[in-house]
Amino acid sequence: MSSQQKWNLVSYDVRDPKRLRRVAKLLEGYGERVQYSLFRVRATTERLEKLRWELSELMAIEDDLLVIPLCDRCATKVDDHSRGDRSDWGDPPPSFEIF
Amino acid sequence: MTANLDSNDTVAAPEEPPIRVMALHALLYCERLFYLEEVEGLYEADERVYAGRRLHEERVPKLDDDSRELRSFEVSSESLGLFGKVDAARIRDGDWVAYEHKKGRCKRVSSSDKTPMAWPSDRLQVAAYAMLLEEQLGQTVTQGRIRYHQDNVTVRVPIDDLIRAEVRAAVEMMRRLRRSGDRPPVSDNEKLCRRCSLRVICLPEEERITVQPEGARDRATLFPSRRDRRTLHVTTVPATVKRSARQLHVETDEGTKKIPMEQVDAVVLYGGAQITSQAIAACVHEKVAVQWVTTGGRVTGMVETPGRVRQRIRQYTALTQSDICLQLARVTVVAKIQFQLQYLLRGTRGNEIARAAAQADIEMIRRAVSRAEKSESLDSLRGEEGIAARHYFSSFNQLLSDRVAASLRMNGRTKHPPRDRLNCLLSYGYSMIFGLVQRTILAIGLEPAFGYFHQPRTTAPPLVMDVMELFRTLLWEMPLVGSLNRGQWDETSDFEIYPGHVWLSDEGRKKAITLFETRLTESYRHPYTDQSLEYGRMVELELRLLEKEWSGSSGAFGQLRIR
Ligand code: SF4
Repeated sequence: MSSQQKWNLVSYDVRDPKRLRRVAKLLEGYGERVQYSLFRVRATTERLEKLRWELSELMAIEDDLLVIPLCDRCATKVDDHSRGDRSDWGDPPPSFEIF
Repeated sequence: MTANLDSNDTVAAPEEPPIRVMALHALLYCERLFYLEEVEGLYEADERVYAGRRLHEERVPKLDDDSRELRSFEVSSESLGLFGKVDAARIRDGDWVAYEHKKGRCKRVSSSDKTPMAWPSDRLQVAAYAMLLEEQLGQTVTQGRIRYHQDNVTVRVPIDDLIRAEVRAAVEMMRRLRRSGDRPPVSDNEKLCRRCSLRVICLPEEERITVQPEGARDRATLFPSRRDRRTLHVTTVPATVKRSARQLHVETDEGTKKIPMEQVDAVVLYGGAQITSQAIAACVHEKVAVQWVTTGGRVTGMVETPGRVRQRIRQYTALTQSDICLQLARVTVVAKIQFQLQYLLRGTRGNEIARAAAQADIEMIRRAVSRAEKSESLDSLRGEEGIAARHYFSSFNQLLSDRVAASLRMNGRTKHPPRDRLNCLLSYGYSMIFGLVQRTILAIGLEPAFGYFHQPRTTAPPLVMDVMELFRTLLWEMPLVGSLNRGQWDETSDFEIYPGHVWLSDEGRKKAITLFETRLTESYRHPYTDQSLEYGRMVELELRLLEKEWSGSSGAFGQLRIR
């Protein structure tokens, strides 16, 4: 079902510093930065399309965008980053946070 | 309204504003879709809509020759009754041609004859654009061309008298639907619904169930069974919610937590928690609810965005009719008392002492249900509700295990203010249900202040009070009793005791929120639709079913029961 959220890796290659900043800011609104120009985004198909659409409005023809969808099984195997613990790839998405 | 409306000519009356050409697509897809989108204004952009937009941004190709060209411009016509944005218009062999770009595939004549064709709605749309263009340019447009990008094919559509008449007839049809006050019935073609962007609002399967014979509920519903966003509860002081580009930053003494805005459905601010107006504005824009709650748990207000007028007018019209109100009130009160009855029965099952102690109350509640089922007035329903509540709470302690300390047991139900710990916990939980119901009512576009059962005499919006009756036992009493029986509450550190009233401590409040939110992630099989879905989605489903009660199909609301 489309209401199911899946992990995606979003990687980009943007040629202009101003556009680059904007693209990064937009992605911060959808997911978390994993590496310099690599984000992870957990999203339903609807939300992913919305992201793609917003990105297409910011990016130029010479820029490049790569979205790699991860199945749940693959995602749980990505827990080994050299910097810091990212073992939450396999966790269900949080439905609340208390501050 | 003028006599003009009933005539067959397509000259728009002044009060009939032109309709978007895009609406033709909705009309041909399903009349109900057209009505929901164009008349009620219920757009829901889903992946297909976004994918279509992306195509327009990216791929309308530039011309490589010097022929005259117009790109992406607005056209509108009073006499045609349409307006829209033409993708492109070009001179071809001396004549203007209207162009449309489509992301998907074209239609084929048949499975053996693969000659490309236009889909009916694309054909009609390009004809409508051609006619608009014609009026704008003052020159005949004899051809439309549709480019299907996935197949890399261009289909030519001759703009003849036949197709012009089809466009006019479609406009006439749309006007007729717009003048009518009723939602058209759901489509006969179930396949359409599965791909429809409004399936979550329309709930076609829930509607079809009502005409199905009992037991034939094997169909899959289209309502999402899980939440895909999270709620932020800001309970500490000092705390400030700020906005940075597309993120919310929650700043507390412990540091700053950055949360992507797309992952948030609501921000709930308790007591002295702060939020900047930039953050509020961003939340409004992204349809994230913002709600303020006192330390004691009372919801004091929330950001309200303008409602959908048609939807609300229908709500007002329905809920000013006393028979509809009585019917809905009866369903609600019966459901509420049934929950109490079932829970007492279930909670004392296998415990002879507790069951014996509760037996007299159980009997009284049982009688209250059967009287409520036949009740003919709101007053008598209120009476039965009160009787049932008294007996329910009088036996409430029988639901608690022997290990629960006396200080955590009930000493009569007290509300304003709660006088003991259990009452304090009950009230706090009900407030959380209230908050959730209120947020959901506003999110789907209904008016919280217009209800069917509760009197509009307090500051509490009646519809919220009405609907939350369905959820008290299911969403709070049951998980609360469970947590008490598991010994999760500390009579000292979780409470603040004052003479005459009891509040939750900071720690206790966090525990209560966690218990409630965790309950919302548990799944439940809905007895009416047979769909298994999270409690967190149940409130929205019930509210949408409630709206159906006055939108052409009734009988599904308030059928929740304990299994
Ligand atoms: S879900 Fe089905 S009935 Fe409802 S608007 Fe869409 S196509 Fe029509």
